[in-house]
Amino acid sequence: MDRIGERIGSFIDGADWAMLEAVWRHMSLPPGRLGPALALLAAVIVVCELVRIALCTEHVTSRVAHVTVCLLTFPLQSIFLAVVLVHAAAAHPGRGFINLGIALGAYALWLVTGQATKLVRRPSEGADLGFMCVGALITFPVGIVAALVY
Amino acid sequence: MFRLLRALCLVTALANAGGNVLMLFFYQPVLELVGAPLPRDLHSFAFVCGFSFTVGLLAFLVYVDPRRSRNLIVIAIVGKGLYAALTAYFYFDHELHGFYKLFGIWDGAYVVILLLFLIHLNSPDLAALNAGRILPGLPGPRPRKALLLFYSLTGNGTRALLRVKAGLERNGYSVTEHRVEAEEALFRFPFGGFGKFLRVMFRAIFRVPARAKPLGIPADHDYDLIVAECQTWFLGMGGPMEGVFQDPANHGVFAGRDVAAVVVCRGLWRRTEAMLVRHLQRAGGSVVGAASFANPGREPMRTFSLFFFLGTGAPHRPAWLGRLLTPQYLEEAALQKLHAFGEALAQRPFATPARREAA
Repeated sequence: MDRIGERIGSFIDGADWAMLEAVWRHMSLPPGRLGPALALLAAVIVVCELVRIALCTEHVTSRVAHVTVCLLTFPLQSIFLAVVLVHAAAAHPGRGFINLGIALGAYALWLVTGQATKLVRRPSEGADLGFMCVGALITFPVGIVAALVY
Repeated sequence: MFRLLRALCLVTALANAGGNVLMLFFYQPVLELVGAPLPRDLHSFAFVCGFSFTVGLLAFLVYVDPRRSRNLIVIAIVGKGLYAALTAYFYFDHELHGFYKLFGIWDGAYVVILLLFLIHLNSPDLAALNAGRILPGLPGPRPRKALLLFYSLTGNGTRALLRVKAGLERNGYSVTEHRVEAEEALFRFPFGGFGKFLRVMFRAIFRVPARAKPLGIPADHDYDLIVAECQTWFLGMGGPMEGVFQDPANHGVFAGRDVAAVVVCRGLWRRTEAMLVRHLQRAGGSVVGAASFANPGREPMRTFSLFFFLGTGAPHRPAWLGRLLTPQYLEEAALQKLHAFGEALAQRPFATPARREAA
């Protein structure tokens, strides 16, 4: 039994978390390496919005698909950006308000991505500015508090 | 747009499949030319070439028959997405040569292109209905009797269906209205407390069934057209209306009949409409039309106005917000379109083999 425990322990110790650590590092919006961080934020925002719209008319009886669509409508992106703002403010104090500007840019990209889908599917809803604003009520108050605290 | 997206699939098919065969054989002169170092482990390099060649082949299959290849598009999106993400990681964190960055950017761009193609290809029948198309009805006798089936929480849906009714009646239909009723008292408006609203919300998000009272309509009824109306509740169908379809005992009401869908909502109608249409089809109905309308007003006030409306139980409250609040009922222009929709449904052609094929 001890040997199995040791094996499991060494197996876990041998795991390479470098990739996740890199993601977390980029989520801190490091001032010296902002390019990859912005690429990460942009990729998350664009993919979430496109997946939401792609899923919208599909798997209509699936509970998992419906919850996924609901999450992608605004909570997932909004909470993600809120986490980024807090993490970034804590990791690099004094840049809180610059980070808020970056988050605003992410919201603009989110809107543009949703509206761009009208080019390939018409009539379509495009971005949902209403729920995006509800999401902004999660992201920005958290970001402003983080900017003021750090 | 279809042609452009399909052509882009061919471009990546040629680039992936052709390019990787070339790389496999000519990697030394190519890498020398761009100033990139030779691969540290050749077997991994060869594996990547093989994987990327396979994605190219997959893209070619999508190009050949895009409409039947939607699952392949999903696989291509995942494959290219992973490749782009890993390239970015190794480029930014492990000093991968800039030459490989080009492939990462290429695949990242194709994630977006393929997702847009998927959005374009998904549910083409719904796209046709959204364009205002009325499909041919089933052959057979038409006693010109219509049944309107609706569940209206706030009255918006009722107002919408009354216009469809007027359009049908104007064209010689006699119309019967049937209001769906929820079994649980929870689904009443005003909700009677924030807690009840939250319960309705979470049930809508997690699709917890809300049973509807028995319709009491025999399967051998003589309606030749059924129009079902539904509101959007947190991106999907209103619970009690979905409950109608979740009860197999009700499927006979729709089986072998022409059916149409009407959706009213704050702003998001696509998923609700898709759910309603698919439920109607699964129940055996022949969907001939669909119309979806959103409440008037600009965002974000339209969304906040809805929350205030649901919270206070009455429109234009709180009064101190005055003109900032947007209307909670469809505007006249939308109601006129619903009237025209009713007229078009009444005049729907009969299905002939040629028409059915075209549809």
